[in-house]
This record gives sequence, structure tokens and C-alpha cells, in this order.
Amino acid sequence: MASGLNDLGRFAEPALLILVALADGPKHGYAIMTEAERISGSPLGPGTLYAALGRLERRGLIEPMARESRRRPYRLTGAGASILEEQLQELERFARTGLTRLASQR
Amino acid sequence: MRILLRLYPAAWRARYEEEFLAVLEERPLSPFDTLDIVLGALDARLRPRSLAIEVAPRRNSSMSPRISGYAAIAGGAVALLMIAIGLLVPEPANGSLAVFLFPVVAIALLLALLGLSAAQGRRLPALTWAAVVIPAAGLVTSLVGVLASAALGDRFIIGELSGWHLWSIGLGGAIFGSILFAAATIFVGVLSRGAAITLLAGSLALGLIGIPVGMGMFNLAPNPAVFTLLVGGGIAFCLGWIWLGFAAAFPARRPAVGSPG
Repeated sequence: MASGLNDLGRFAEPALLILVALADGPKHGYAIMTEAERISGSPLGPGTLYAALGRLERRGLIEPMARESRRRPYRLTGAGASILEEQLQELERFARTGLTRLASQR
Repeated sequence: MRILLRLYPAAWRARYEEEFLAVLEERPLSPFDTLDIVLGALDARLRPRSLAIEVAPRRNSSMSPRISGYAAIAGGAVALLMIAIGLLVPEPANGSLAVFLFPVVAIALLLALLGLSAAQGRRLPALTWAAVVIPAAGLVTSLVGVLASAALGDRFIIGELSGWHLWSIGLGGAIFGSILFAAATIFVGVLSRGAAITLLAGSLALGLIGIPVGMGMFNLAPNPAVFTLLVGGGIAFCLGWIWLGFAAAFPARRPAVGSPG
């Protein structure tokens, strides 16, 4: 099982955005893409979206659900939720450290 | 849009095509999206195993031992014919025949080397490099040399090297490489060891006697013992390849465990 997302290289950031987009419930491809773009403020291309989805699915961090018409929703797995929580806590520690250091200079 | 999807491998399309098209239909395709899809297709082709798609097992691209075996038999047999022509047909006719026959030998033995080594290389991967590259390079060089010699005569084609020089250098490499190949075959033990020992003996005789004679280090005519050893080495070289070929093309059937008889 993957211990993190860092070894995904250039797909690490899109993968994290996808996990965050799925954190509040299953979504299909287009909804994931628009949600990820809204969270990050930068565009997420469909090629990158599906490259990252494929990697997350391969690692068992997300899973496809039954197809609804032509759309297929994805949801977080238990492993995916754990990894996401771990990643966000790491980011929180990083942000807190940075803010503390910045505040000490003022 | 479907044209862009054709850039993706079939396994990827089988798994994602419909939902991917559904995403693309939600908004107009921008130049950024188009480039992103092309890069995504490249990624899917280069790293299919990192994605959640079933990748068909890679077909074994190595030549089958049977075809390599036939090539070894053909190469050895034509080389044997060349020795017979060299002994029985007077010059310059034997030289003209050699120009026609040598390419057949070189190509056949090259195919044999590559195929038989691939079969052995699975047990000893270093073999592929140690005992294939040298004889293969030698055979190719000698092939270029004999063709250049036939087309251009004694003219220099690379620096001060004529076709004949290239042929000689290539033949030396092929003989030295055959020594390595035979030794590796004996060591690995996948193919007939008897055949490999015969090839080793022949190659050693050709290497130790034939190369110095070819370089003009001593004259063959007054040395009947050397001449006999050289011809014997050549015959052993050819028989070794033919034997290896038979061993690869017609492997002995072993009775299944527990079968009657």
C-alpha cells in the first residue's frame, strides 16, 4: 500500500486535490475536475485528471462505483481517507511552522 | 475528441473512454486541455502499469529456439561447404564462390547467435553481452568487409582499411566471440554441452592457428600439421554449429513424470 503521495511525482498534487474533492462524498470525473480547480484556483486538465485517477485507483486509495449513464463516480476508500488525513496533517504542521516563524519576525 | 482518444492504448480506452468523453462533453475543449490529453496519452502508453488498467503480458520477442536452430544448421552447413570448395575448387573460382556463400553463413550464424543466446540469456543475462555482442559485431563487420571487397576490390573504405581488412578483423572477432559463446554455452548447460565443446575446440583451433596464418605470421604451405589442424578446426567449428542447431531445433522429448514406460 502506498505510504504517501510523494512518489507520484508530478501527479502528487493533482492526486491530493482529487482526494480532497472526494472527501465529502463520491463524485464523477467532471465534478472532481471542477471541484479540484475551485480548491486550487488553477486548471486541471482531463488528461492529468485521469492519469491521477488511474494511479489512485491502482493504489486502492479511491474506487470506481457503478456507472451512472456514461459517468462513473469515484469514492474514497478507507486507505484513501487515511492517506488524505495524514497528508493534510503534514500540510497543517508545515503551515503552522511557517506562520509561527513569520510571526516571530514581525 | 474521439480522434484524441485514439492516442491512448486500447486497454485504457476500454476502461475509461466513455466516462472520459462524458467529461470532455461538459465544457469546450481548450488548447490547454488538448495538450493535456496528448500528454496523458503519452503517460498511459509509457507507464501503463502505474494505472488501474489490465496490461496484456508482454509477448516474448525473442526468436524461437527452433528458428535459431535451423539458422545454426544452415550456417554451419554452408560454412562446411565453403571449406570443401576451398579444398577442392581451384582459385580464383573458389574465391568467387566464397563471396556468394559467406554472406549466407554470416547472416545465418548471426540469427543463430541472437536466438540461441536469448534462450540462454534468461539463465545467465551477462551472456547476452559477453558472448553475443563480440561475435555478432564480428559477423556484421566481416559481412560488410566481404561485400565491400566484392564491390570495391582492394580500395580503402575506412582509413587505410580495405574490405579484405574488414573481413579479416570481423572474422577474428566472430571466431573469438564463438569461443566465448561456446564457453558460456558449456557453463549455462541449456543447450547441448557436446555441441558446445565441439564448437569451442573448432573456434580455438581457428583462433590460435587461423588468425596468425591469416595475418601472415607464418606460411601454411610447409606445415602440413598446421594445415590439418586448421582444416580440422574449421570442420569442428561447422559441426559444432550444426550440432547446436539440431539440439535447439529438435529438442529430445522427455517422458512426463509418472507416465507409463
